[in-house]
Amino acid sequence: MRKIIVPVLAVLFLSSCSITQPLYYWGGTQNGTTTYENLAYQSYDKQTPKSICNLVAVYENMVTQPGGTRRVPPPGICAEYGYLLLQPETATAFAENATNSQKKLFKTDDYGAYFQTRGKELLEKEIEYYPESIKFIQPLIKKLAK
Amino acid sequence: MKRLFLFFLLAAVVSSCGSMMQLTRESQYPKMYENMPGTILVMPPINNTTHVEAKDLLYTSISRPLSEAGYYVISPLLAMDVLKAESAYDSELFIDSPLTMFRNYFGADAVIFSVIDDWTKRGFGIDTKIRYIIKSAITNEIIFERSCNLHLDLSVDSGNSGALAALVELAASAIVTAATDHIVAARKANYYIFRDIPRGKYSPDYLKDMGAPAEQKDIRKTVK
Repeated sequence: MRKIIVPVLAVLFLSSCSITQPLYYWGGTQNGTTTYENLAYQSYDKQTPKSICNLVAVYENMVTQPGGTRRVPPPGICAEYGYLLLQPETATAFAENATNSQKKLFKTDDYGAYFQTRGKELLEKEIEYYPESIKFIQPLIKKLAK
Repeated sequence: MKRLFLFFLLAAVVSSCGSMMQLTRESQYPKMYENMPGTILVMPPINNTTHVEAKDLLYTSISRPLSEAGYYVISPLLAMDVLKAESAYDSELFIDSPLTMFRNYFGADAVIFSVIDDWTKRGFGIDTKIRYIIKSAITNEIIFERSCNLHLDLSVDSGNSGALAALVELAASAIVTAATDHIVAARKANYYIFRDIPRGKYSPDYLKDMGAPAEQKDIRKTVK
């Protein structure tokens, strides 16, 4: 009997305050929070060409190397990244301010054309990963295509 | 000896989560399970403080904990542009109104409102009080409501005694407090508010966590 009770109690003890594994990868950690949150906040607080380049790099990392237990980019990230790439100033800021390692993320020098194509693909990806997003994303795609 | 060992092991299990064992997610948030929203729209925070920047800063920190809890959260950065264009950026106008327009436009099952009641640096620390209210976009009823009154203690303790050490600690505490952004305290408050929210459809615990422990609805914490 003791052989059963002791393992059962031990499992209960270990699982009673278990640590949950993250569902998603948010670009690593920086200053005590996720890199994504930190850069999104910085970019929102005071957007500069450099903060745009940093944000592009972390988004690219999150969508090409998804992690966590679900192994897909977090909700909204493909859409946010696609929307950012479709803004005309993003390509200009990136071409003029990105570091060499950031530029190596893309196999092109024509950021204007590439970001337009990739931006549209990413908005479609959001719908593919999260079909419930179609109601909001589809009109956005149409609006951006005009 | 065996009996003593078993007794201590049982005591450890029972006490391992302290007061959290008394409440469950189902007893705290029955309406979340009844409604079980899949898609959540984050509304811009309602700011009851004089710190105008608090609204926009908190807005960027709400989606990650909800996504990690298994919900599809409409990107606040994208939603913000739409809400501004539609003159819907002031959540005060919508918190007591029907939310069907958000369901029709965004496909949201629920809408989350946040209210900032305190956002202040006091002494060597930051005080934050945030309330969150999740309302069903279908029935309009409140399905989740919680507040966190958090003091982030930024005082530095060098572990040394003496007048000089005390002076150094005071100076260090002042520097750390000045250098720490308010958002750090807000993110910690978010952690406590959402850590035992019922899990959404993308979580492996979806509809399996009713018996999981939950904390009191209104939280008061001092954290380092």
